[in-house]
Amino acid sequence: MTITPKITAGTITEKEEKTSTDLAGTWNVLVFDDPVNLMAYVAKVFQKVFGYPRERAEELMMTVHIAGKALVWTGAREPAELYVQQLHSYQLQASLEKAQ
Amino acid sequence: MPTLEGGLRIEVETATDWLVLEQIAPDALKGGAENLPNRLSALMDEGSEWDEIVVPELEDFFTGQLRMVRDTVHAAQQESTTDPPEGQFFIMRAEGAQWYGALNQARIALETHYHFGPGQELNEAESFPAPKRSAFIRSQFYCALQSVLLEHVLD
Repeated sequence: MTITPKITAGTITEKEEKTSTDLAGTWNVLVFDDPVNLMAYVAKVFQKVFGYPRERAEELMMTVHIAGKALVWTGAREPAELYVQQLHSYQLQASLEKAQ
Repeated sequence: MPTLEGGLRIEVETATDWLVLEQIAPDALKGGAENLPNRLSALMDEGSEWDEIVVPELEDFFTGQLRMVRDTVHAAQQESTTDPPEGQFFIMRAEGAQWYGALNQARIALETHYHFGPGQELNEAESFPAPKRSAFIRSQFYCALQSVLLEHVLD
């Protein structure tokens, strides 16, 4: 999923270097509230995707419901993308943001 | 009706029931080009290559859910020999997630198209124009079936 910088003759272009730098570091997986997905379903998906215990999954689900979004996982870009892909397959609105 | 194998038996009693079940896939496809995978992809940044890699996979996955539901309903309809056309079919435990996903696609597409909003009550829908009202009733039916799936079928 991540972009591999093209290295030619020992140089990396400024744009590619920026992209590579941008993708490094720590990333947050966010889930957003929507008017369709049932609350019990969202909690069940958090349990399935992240392996969270029911209490933690329900707490995150309530955060999504009340605050409009919740930070559900933090870590490297590649696993974060895989988590978002799984959340999308369960039809939840999810995205990535770089952690501060 | 829950089954001992962890699935559901759906009893269809009227022509209207069949019509609603037939509408799941068409409702889900209401978004056209603005389909669900594309709308989910819009949440991602450009560096993710989501459109090239993930969207096609999700399109196949979501289409498979709709195809399974459509084929199940169609096959059950073909077996019905009564008038009015009563019938039944089963949602096996292994098919529960696909059914849930197809119903969810339909509800998301209807919500996107008609903007029912959260917490809409049936009596509030009385003031809707006819197409929106019937879509709202279908959406409520899909939601009720999803709740039964959540309670009795999904792990």
